Amino acid sequence: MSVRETSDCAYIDDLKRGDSAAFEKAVREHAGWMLAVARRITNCNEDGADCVQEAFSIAHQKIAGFEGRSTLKTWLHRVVVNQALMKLRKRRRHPEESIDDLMPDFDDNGFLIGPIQITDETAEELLSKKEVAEKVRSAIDELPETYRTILLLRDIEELSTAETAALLEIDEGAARTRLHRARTALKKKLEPVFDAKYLDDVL
Amino acid sequence: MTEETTHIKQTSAATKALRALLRNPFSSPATRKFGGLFLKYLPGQITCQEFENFVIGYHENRLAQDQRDLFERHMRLCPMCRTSFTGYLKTIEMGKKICSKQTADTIFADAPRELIETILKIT
Repeated sequence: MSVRETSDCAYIDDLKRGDSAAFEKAVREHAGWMLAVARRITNCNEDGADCVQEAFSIAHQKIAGFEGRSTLKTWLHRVVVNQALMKLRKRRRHPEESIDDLMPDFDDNGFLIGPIQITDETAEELLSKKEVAEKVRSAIDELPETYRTILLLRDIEELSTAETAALLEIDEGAARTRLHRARTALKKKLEPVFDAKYLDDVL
Repeated sequence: MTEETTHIKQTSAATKALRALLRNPFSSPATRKFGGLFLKYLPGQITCQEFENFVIGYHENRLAQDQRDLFERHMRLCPMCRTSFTGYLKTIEMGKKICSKQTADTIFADAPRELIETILKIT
């Protein structure tokens, strides 16, 4: 379900007045998916839980100023994504490994050097195989944090390029380039999955 | 075999080879070099490398019409880039699907009761 598909919150006025029953309702309604988002971005269960807790703490303090220009769910989504990114920034200590090896190769004429295989199976059919689903999960997790983060924000959390660029404090052009490199690196990691021969042999 | 028959056979073979090349200029290593040069220097064509640079713009529908035309013409002509672009789209789709499944799993199978209780102590 997209985070933007929810209907308007019926108890928003109670929430803004500081009604604890309304707050509890919001927590019970939203904590589950917020935890999933935070865990995905931080790639850590504990950090994910911390982010949700911090996000609700901020929400509790700032809900009175919520103007209703977005749905409550979209607003909470931004808050928890921001908390998760802050957690990543605090955690980031080491320089990341390069993904240049995962970029396509071209010859002197700019011709793509292959071979490239692709199975006819749809994404859904591929993911119905446990081994493939596991491979996709681990391939995303293995991406260097900078690339994993932008892939999650744009493709999974479905934030716009402008929103993503603002959150990551980069310009939109850099956000697009980074996203393309992230997708290309992930595609390279998934090449065995796309190879019909691999599917026949391994699965 | 008469000289005329030999000539017809040679012409026919050359035409066949040319047609095959135009249909798929990258079908063998021998034709790849020609195919690469063809894309590099012929007006109205782009190289695979230029195609790669257009991918995200095409996907986000941000290319100008002439760039879209170049991109789509290259994709029709180059099976390698066609396959590569299909893989790109499939990669995005698989990422989306696997993560939305994870969200659903968390919501329905991993309801964080302790976390909810901790959060509720805020109020």
